[in-house]
Amino acid sequence: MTPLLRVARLRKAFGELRAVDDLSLELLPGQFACLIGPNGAGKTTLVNLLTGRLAPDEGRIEFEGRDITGLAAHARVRLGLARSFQINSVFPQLTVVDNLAIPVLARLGRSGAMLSRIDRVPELEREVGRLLAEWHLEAERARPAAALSHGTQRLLEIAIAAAARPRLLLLDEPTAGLSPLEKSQVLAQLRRVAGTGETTFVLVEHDMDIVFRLADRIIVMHRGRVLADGTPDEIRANPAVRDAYLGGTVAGPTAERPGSAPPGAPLLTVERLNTFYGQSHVIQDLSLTVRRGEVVALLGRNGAGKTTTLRSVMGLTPPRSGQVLLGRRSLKGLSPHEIAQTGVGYVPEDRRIFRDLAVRDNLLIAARAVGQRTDGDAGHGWDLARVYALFPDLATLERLRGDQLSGGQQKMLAIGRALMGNPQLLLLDEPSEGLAPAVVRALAGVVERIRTEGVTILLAEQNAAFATLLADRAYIIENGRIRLEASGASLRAHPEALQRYIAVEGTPEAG
Amino acid sequence: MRGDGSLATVEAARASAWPRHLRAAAAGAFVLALLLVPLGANSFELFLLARIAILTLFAMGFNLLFGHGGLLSFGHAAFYSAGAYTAGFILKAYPSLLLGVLGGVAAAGALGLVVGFFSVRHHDIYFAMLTLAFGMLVYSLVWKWDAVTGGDNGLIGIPRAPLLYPGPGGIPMAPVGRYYEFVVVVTVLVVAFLWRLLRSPFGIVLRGLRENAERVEFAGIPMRRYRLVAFVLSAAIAGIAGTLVGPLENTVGPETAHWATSAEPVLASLLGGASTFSGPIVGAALLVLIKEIVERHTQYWLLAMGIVLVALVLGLRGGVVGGLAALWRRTRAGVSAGTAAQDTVPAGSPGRSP
Amino acid sequence: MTQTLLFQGLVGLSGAMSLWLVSAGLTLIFGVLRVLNFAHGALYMLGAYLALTVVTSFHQDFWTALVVAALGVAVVGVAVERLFLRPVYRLPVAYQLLLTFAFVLIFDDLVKIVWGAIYQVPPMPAGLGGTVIVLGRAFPVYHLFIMVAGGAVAVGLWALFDLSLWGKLVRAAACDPEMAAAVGINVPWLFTEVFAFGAALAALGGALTVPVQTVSPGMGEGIIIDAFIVVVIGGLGNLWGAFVGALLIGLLHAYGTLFVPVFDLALAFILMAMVLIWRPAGLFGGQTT
Repeated sequence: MTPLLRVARLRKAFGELRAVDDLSLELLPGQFACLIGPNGAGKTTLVNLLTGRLAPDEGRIEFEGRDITGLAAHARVRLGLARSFQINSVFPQLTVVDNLAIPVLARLGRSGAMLSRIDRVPELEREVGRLLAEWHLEAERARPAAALSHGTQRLLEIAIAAAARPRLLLLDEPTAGLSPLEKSQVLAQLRRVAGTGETTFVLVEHDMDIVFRLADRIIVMHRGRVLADGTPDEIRANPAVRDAYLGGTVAGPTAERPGSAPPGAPLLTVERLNTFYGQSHVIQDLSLTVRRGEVVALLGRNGAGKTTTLRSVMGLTPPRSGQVLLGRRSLKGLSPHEIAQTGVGYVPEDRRIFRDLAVRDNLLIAARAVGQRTDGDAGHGWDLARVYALFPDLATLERLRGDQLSGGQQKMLAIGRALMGNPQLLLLDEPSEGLAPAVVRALAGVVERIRTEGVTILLAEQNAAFATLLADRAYIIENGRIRLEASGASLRAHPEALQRYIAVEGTPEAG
Repeated sequence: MRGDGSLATVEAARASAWPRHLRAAAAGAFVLALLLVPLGANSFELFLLARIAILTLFAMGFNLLFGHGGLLSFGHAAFYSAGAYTAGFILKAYPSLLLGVLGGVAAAGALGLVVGFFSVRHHDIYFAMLTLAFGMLVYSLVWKWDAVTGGDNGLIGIPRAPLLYPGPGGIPMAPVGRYYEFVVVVTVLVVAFLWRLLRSPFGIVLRGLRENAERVEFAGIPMRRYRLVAFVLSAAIAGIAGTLVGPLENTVGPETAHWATSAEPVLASLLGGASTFSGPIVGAALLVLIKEIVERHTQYWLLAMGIVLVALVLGLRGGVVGGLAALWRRTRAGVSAGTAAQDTVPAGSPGRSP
Repeated sequence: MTQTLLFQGLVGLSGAMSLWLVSAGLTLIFGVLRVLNFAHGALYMLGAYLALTVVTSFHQDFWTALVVAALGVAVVGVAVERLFLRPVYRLPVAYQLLLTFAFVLIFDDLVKIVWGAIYQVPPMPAGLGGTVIVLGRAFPVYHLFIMVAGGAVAVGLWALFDLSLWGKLVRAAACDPEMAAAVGINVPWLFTEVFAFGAALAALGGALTVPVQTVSPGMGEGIIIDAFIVVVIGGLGNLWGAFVGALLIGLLHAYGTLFVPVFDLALAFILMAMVLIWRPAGLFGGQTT
């Protein structure tokens, strides 16, 4: 059988980051493949390269035997290669019917007709009607897309892609943010379409239940490459995959943590936090406490709500309701710079170094910006010398610009930058993500040292091994809710307790 | 007016035949009334109405791109002026109104093709800046190139030429009333064309471009080419408006190409409601009347225009028609207890494209 | 002939420098606030009128006039940013453009109301009048002064953004405003400062041209178009690009008026079109500051 899609030695770099690195792949017609991998593995970049949203630096893409590497996105769709987007990309002010009419008109070759009335285009109404029925959108047909719930918009997002009746359909996290009921609706429909054999599917997906239930082939990406490729059973048994997800075994600074200070008074108190992105209810009634001197881990899969929780505390995504206290002071209604000045340091997942400033300047402006702490607490007296003592690499690199650093160095800089503001509380978002095992080990030592120097840490992680090694306590978060609270020691003793929430396998009984 | 031209509303209109026929009858009566105005109006009033019609055309051409296509052009005076000067040249050389209009439209469309070619590959800021810059290029040429354009003085002595050709049977157009009727007919034809266009597949794709150009591309439609087509159409319609000015005023000056002229369709569309079909018509009428009143009291018309624009941007982005429609929906929602309220969407946002 | 060309080059350079001041403010504001300020030419005009008033009505010297113009327009900038621009940052770009465009119309007429539509003939500051012989021809001293002033501003801006802490805070906010806020920078206030600073630069450019250019209500229009071309050529948001762009356009105008007087503006457009086809983001596009 000739492959439907053949990718040869594809490369795409963004500055230092090799998002897709010498990747080769073949897809056979009729397959239902899932593309999985930890955050930052390059999945979305790969989809963007295949569909013409990005141009590769090197490599070749063939679709049904034809070289499409240089072809425009719209031309690829016309050949039968369509996609949906990770973040809803619909036509917000247009009705559901018109949202679907656009791709259908394109497929019928009638999108350019200027003088024929829209309701007299042959086939259009029937085809749109079919899509409305298939994707359970009939009741919403005359409403503008912007007025739909997130879940219904998600259905529309997929339906627009499916409207092209593609030979190959790439769906980028189709079930992101859906309720269990909506998820099962989407999956049932996908299975039905797949059953016709007309369309070959590739799903980028984080929900392992879905992946292992649906896929007949799983492609695991890690750092821009294919780490593993095979049937669900083969993937389940693959130790490399387990490592990529769980971070493998991290040999920490010491097995038993030294000087675990007696827990102090609560420093961060979050009560019944509710946060939305537009229509999407991302954080639901979340409560947690971090005591002075603790390291607390917030563990969960991609999309569980970890980043949003940290962003809500920082004031970057203000919560709709709930209470956030630092010590006894409410952070509610404060803007991010005021929260930073109150003593919260933030290290984002994607580092966000000020790329055209030198390393030294990245650190200095952070110190200056919070110059006068509003709570009168002198903080912990972090300065350049202490940050350089913690990260000797940064001292030697201090004249380089932020974008000349490697990913690991940028991560160090992001932590150093947050420390320069003399925080009482440090919010660390997935510090271990995308780092080589040796660097992760070094990082564990660093976090431990920061803690012993008196900074309280809230750590969001999907790397369970890394997080449980460091944490005094851990909260497990799933679908924006806290599912479990456990001490670090008990999780270290019984890592299998986390399987259900973090691991690669789907729950056995779910299928 | 929201949802004009949507497949869903067109279907709904067809399902209940009454409203659509009623609408057509109302429109027909309105046009007939416009054509009968010369029987009872003086020439000042006819001039004013003709100016409203011309600005209506100009604004509807502009708004095809802005309100429906999501592209904000600050250089549409260039096309308006190209139409006006070309028609002026033709009319002075050979007095045939139809020839002048067609020539002017062709010139404006051709200029639109050139400017559009460079502009539509950019959006938002670059697009606005490029169209403004090209517009000012045209202005500087018109203003400086004395030998051809008459420089500061412009073209003077443009005749209200017969419709077809000089001499018997050419249908004379010299009386203001007669010329006014010609302007009304042209305007109605163009508005009818746009009404149809916005209900065609192309019209829906155009609104798709406004809402989310990238998704249009990923629906399998070459979005840049569609934008260029929309740009040329928009320029040509602005050009039609331009061709009608010279014969009305007997003169065309370089100020037709100035950016203050480019601002008029922008303002008319926003004032009436850029995301509605009838917004530019209502806006053009209001603008011409406000201008007439303001200029009686003060020469600072631009100041008034600027203040109105600030108020529209900060307070009333839906325009008059959009505002009235929202009010209507609210009253209706009050009657039918809330269900309709869920249909309210944040005010239309032309210019939104990734 | 060579001498004529060189001489005209000098003329072009002095023209380039006031263009540079306006473009620098324009590109700086865009780089940080992501708003294209259509009213930047109007601020330039306002600076010229303020300087003129200080000299002719209050009989102060030219240097005082420069300072008053810059500070006065900076205050206008603070008001415009805080009262009008701030509410539209979250709206689609079209509305931001429309808002700054409205201020073009407003300032043009306000200037007419306050100063009248008469073309004002300003005096030459002491010590900068007269000519020197350059390349065998008389060259106005004042043009040499403008060239020096433009160069000084370039050096000053370089020092400000590369050496001073404020410059670094601005660059951080331009790079990633949200992260800048998360490290404790008061980004909204910084935006106000940057807008006022850009406005002051435009005013300075306007005030500097007062002794050699008639001051008139439409004077902002020509320069804003040129400044747009400059920042498009240089890359929006890029100061160094604006400097190079201003030099290119200044020289092009100088030689344009020499060889093709009617079409000199067209030359700039052709250059812009070529740059956009060759490098859509401008010569230095994609880099910051």
